[in-house]
Amino acid sequence: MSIPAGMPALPRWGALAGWVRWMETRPDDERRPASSWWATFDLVASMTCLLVIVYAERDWFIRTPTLALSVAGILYRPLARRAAYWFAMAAVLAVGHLLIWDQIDNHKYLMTYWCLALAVSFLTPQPLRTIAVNARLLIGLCFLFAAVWKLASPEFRNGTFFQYVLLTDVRFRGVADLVGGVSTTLTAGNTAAVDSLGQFSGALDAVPLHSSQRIEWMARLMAGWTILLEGAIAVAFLWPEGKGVSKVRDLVLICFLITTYPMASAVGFGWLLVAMGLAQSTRSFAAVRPLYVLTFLLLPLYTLPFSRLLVHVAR
Amino acid sequence: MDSLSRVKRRTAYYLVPALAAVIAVRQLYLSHAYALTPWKGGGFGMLASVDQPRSRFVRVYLLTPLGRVPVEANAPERVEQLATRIRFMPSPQRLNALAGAVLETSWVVDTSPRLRAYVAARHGEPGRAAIAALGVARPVEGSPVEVSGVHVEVWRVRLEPSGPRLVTRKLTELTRARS
Repeated sequence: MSIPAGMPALPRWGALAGWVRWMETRPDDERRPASSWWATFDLVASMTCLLVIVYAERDWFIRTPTLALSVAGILYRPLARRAAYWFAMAAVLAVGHLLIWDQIDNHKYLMTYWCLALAVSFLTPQPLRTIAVNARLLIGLCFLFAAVWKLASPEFRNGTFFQYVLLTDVRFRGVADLVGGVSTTLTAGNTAAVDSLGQFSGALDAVPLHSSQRIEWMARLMAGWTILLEGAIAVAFLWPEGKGVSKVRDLVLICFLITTYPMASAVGFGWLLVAMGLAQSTRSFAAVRPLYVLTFLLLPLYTLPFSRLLVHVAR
Repeated sequence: MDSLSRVKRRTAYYLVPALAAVIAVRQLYLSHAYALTPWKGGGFGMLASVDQPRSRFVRVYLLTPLGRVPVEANAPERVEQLATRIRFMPSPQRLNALAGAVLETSWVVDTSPRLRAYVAARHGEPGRAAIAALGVARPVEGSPVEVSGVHVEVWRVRLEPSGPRLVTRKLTELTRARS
C-alpha cells in the first residue's frame, strides 16, 4: 500500500513519525465514489443518534436536549453533516456528564468523545478521513486501557472476577446453572450472602459462596479469552493502517461484539463500538460493512433471556 | 499544504483521542490515590475487578456517651447522597463532608420495639444484635443524644478464591470530633 500523494512529509521522528503517517492514511478512499462514503456516514450518524436516544443518562439536563437533537438529526439528515450540530450534542453530554463524572459508565465518556470527534471532523476539509482516524484511535485506546486494567488486576487474571460474577449476578444464573452446575437456588443464596455483608452493624465480615469446579474453569477460560481479545483489538486498531494485524481489525472487533455481549449485555457500549467501527472500516473484506450493521441489529436480541430458556428446555 | 493547515489537520486527528487518554490516565491516578472504583471515571476499568460501587458500603457511627452507635441507613437525604458518592470515590474531602452533614443533624438513640422489628426485618440478625447492644441512631426533632464526634468507614467486598468466600476489607476511615 502506498501513501497518498497529498500526504505531507513528516520530520524524521523514527517509529512515531511512521505510525502517525500510516495512521492518517485510508487505503481505499480513492477507489470508491464519495457518495458511497457519505452513505456510510449517514448510517453512522443515525446509529449514533439512536444510541443517544436510547442510552443517554436519564437526568433531565442531559435527556431532554439530547433527545431533541437526536430526533432532529434522524429526521433531517443534512443536520448531522454540520459541525455545529455535533458540537451542540457534545456540549450537552460533556456538561451533563461532568456533574456526575464519577457515577457514569465508561461508554458515556466514549459517547461524549465520539460526538466531539464528529464535531471537530466537520471543521476539516476531509471530514470522513478525520472521523475514521478518530474512530480507530478511540477504539484502540479504549481497549488498550481496558486490557491494561484487566492485566493489572489479580482478581481478573486468576479468574476470581468471573467466578464472582457467575456466582452472584442475576443475569448469569442461567449460565451458572446450565454450564457450571450451580443451581439457581444456590446462586440466589450467594446473592443474599453478598447483601448480608453490607449490613450496617458490621457484625459479619466473611461469607462462603456455593461454587463448583466447572465454574472455576469457566471463569479462568472467560478471563483468558477476554484479555486475549481486548489486547488483540487494541493492537489491531493502533497498528499502522493497511499493515499486518491492522487488516483484520474489523473481524476482531466484530468477533468481540458477537461473543462478549451475550454475557455482558451492555447494548449501549456495543452499539457505540459498532457505529465507530463502521465509521473507520475500509474494505478489508467484502462483507465488513453489512456485518457491522447486522451486529448492530443483533446486539439488542442478546437481552432476551436465552440462558433461562435453555435451562427450562434442559429440564 | 502549508504548515498551518497541517497543524489544524493533525489537531483534528489527535485532539479528542488525546483528551480520552488524559482522562483515562487521570482515572488510573484517582483510582490508586483516592480509591475511585475502577468501574467509573473514564478509565475503561469496568469488568476488571469485583470492586464496583455496589460491592462497597459505608458505615457511619456516632460517638456518644453511650458508646459508638451505628447510624441507620435510612438517614436524611443529604447524608444518603453523600454516602452514595463516597461509594464511588471515598476521598478525604467527601468523608469530611459526610461527617459534617452527620454532625449537623440531630440524632436520638432509638431502642423501641417497633424500630427493633423494622431493623431486624431489614438487616436480619446482625441488625437485631446491634440494637440489643446499643440501639440505632435516627434523625429526630425531639431531644437529641449528645454527639461528641462521628466515625465513617468505607468497606469493599473481595472474593477469596479458596473456598470461595467473600470477605470485607476496610478501604478507608475517618473520625471527626465536634468542634
